[in-house]
Amino acid sequence: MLSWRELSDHLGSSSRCILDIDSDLPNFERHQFWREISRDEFYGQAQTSDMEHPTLMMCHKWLGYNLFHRDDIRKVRVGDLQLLYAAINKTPISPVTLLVSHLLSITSLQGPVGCTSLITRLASSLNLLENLSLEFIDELRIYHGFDTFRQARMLKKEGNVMYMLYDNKGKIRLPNPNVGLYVVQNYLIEIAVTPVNQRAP
Amino acid sequence: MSVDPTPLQAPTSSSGTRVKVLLKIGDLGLKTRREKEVFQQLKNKDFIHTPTLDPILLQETGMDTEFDLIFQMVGWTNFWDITELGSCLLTLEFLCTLQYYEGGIAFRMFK
Repeated sequence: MLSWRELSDHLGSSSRCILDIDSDLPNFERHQFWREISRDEFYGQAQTSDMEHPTLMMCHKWLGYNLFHRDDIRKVRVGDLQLLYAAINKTPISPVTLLVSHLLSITSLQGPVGCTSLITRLASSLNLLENLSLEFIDELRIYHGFDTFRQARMLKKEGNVMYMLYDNKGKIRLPNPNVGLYVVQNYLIEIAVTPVNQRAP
Repeated sequence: MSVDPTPLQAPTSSSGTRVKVLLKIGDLGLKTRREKEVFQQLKNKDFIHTPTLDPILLQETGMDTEFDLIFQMVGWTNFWDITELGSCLLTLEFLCTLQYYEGGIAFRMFK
């Protein structure tokens, strides 16, 4: 048996991370937080594209590919929201309870099983791979790059310049230090007043 | 996935230590009815290395800097770069034996 803390440590989270997400994020309220990062009144059929802050959108994609891999990662689940809330509030947080809930649901999910590298990490950290004859997956790892996001109409390039797209509302140039997650005061993007020509130095 | 025939005896390393083998379905140590039921639900799924975002895309969008900062804040500096190779059988054995307890999890590997 592994305690949540032990599991968290073996997977690489900091020992200062909170474990009991529901109790340790007492000010989190899904509808209120969703209103802060989208233009929806209530959290319901929330999707990545409903968010506006580019870093939050990309973070959500990262969570979907790396931690909670499933066939359709566009849906924003409550656990995703809690992790994004912790990120905004700079709260060290371990994802292990959410991760295990996800792992236990894999039998009912569509698509390939994508948690394999995390399981290898856990086994390796527990020294279970020593003196073991084991085969790894032959296929190459999938890296989701520009094409994935171009097809999802989230990003486009004009020449060598990258833009994040907002349906019919416009676009902002990336990288854009003016909209860094810890720079902005508001997580809704006022495209009309957001400089599109800012690039990282 | 390997389908090599089962060795009559587990091989030993040059140091004489017994080498554990997980090369085919028969090497999975599934014991309980529940474990075997989960296996039936998972056995036909594809298993892939954990996918991720392309580092070039992160760099081109400035998310490399953003992610470094965010993951530092949430305590994931040593967690978020998931580059280990995945194994179908190792993952199957873990998922089939995984159990949730109030204070953590239990699972078996190579037993």
